[in-house]
Amino acid sequence: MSLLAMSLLLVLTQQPPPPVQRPTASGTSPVAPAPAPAPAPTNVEPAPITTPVDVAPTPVPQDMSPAPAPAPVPVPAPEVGPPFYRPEDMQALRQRHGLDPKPPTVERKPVFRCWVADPTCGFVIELNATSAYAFRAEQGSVNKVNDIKRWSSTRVQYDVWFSIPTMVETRGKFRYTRLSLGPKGGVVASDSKDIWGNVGIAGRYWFSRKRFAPNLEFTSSLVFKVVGINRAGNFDSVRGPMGFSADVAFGLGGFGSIVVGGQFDSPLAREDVPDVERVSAGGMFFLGFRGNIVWGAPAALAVATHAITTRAVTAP
Amino acid sequence: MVTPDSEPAPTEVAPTPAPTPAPAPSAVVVLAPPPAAPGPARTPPPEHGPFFAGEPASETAFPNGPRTTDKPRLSIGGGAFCFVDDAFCKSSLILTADVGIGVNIVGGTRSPDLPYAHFNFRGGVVFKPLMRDGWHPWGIGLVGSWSRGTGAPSKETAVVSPHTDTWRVSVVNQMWLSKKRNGFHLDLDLGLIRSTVLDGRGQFFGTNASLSANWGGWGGIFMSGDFLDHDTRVVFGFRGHGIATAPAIGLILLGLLAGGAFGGAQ
Repeated sequence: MSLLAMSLLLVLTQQPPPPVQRPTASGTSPVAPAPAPAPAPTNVEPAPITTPVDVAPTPVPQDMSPAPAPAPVPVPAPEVGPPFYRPEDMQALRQRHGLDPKPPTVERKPVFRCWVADPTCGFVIELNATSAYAFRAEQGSVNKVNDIKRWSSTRVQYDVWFSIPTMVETRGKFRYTRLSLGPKGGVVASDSKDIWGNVGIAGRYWFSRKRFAPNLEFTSSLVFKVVGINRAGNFDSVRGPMGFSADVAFGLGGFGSIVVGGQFDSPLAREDVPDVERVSAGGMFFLGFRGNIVWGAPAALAVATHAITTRAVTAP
Repeated sequence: MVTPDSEPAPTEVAPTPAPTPAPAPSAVVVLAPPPAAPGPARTPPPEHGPFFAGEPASETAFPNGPRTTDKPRLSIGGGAFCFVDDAFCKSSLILTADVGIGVNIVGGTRSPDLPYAHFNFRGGVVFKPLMRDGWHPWGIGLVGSWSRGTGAPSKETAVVSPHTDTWRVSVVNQMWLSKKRNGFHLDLDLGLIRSTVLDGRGQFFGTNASLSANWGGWGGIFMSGDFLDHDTRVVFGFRGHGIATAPAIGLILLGLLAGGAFGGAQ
């Protein structure tokens, strides 16, 4: 017996040490060492050296730990992914910060999908039509003192707005636009077949999240004459310097707003400009209604205003 | 004896078999999965940073806004062709209208530089040829446009050229800076133009270059230059997709028509 043990001891000491065992899966519960040592797997002595039962061609990992405990220590399963907090944690967080304890889980849908601006939509492309009364003025003869032509007219404007959510608020898992800002451009029309182009920015601040949420709109743009009555008296391209326009409005939803603003057409009167190319300073103040054409009324009102103005109003 | 079916063994074997009376928390640390074996060097994500970034992971979203998994708006074939260009469209229709203001720079001492404004219609197709296996920021396309602008400067009372018409054929180079819906991209257009020069009645060739900042296929702002012999026109303006601008054009024409603007002069 002792001879056999000595030979096995000799063989084992010449073999490489067994590799270190690793968990086969990250989610498996590890086994804690038992409080009491278990009997050795074999009765081969000496005891400090672990003895495998059979010698395989390749080293076989040997469990050298004590016997498994009768009741393994429960280890909570690791979190699979975010969120790493529980509903109770969220509730405590809401209470701590004074948030709504029951945030909404369902939100209404806009009437015209998102073709009309809505706080629940995010990025919105909108086409707004403006119909407004306009008090127009233009500089008259420079040879007379305070020669200013003034007349009542209208202003019709069609603008494409890119309303980009610039500032948002969050309620539960819903995000709402509080302030949108983005480029806009379009055309402005008035009497005497005057048509301007405009390029600028438009913004809207929402005071609530409802369908007809009150909001404050503000725009500013560069304005330039594109079409009108030229020097030959034809309705064609017209030269004009760059002016600017700005307005503010109070609206309900993205459907409509009451708008007030002004426009200034800068003069073209440099000394090196030929007399025939010179343009007087002009401008207008306007008060009217602006709304998205999708629901119809703003478009119909703008077309009617434009047609009536073209027929009935003539610049002095 | 350990077999593959047996329970997983601890990672480390205690050097001494002395038992511990109770499992200590340190045992959990010991039993934690070891660090991964060093493997081949991990390559960073192909797109990162403020540009070329996709929608960030977020637990919040606009209730009625687009989802990141949605197909591009107004597209067929899951983005194979889009009527409104977007970041994940492999090919798209370009159909825009724009207005712009700038300056007409006349060479020599013939005339001072004067304001120049135009309205323009533009159409074509763009492709993202490198987006077969994944997203790619580059797109290329071909567009044609026609514009009507302010007439040439004149020193005479009579209007020699009431307006300036220009035809363009341009190659569009797109650089999408974002993978988001309606993502931001810069476009550089280079092409040939055919237009009048000053108050001449003939048609001449020139070149065109345009740089624009766009949101998806909906449009944006641009700066464009038409370069002809002694006649350069530089314009800054706003362009919008036909879906948004066509109704505006129709309504303004309807108002003019109903107002009798096309009935003759005066």
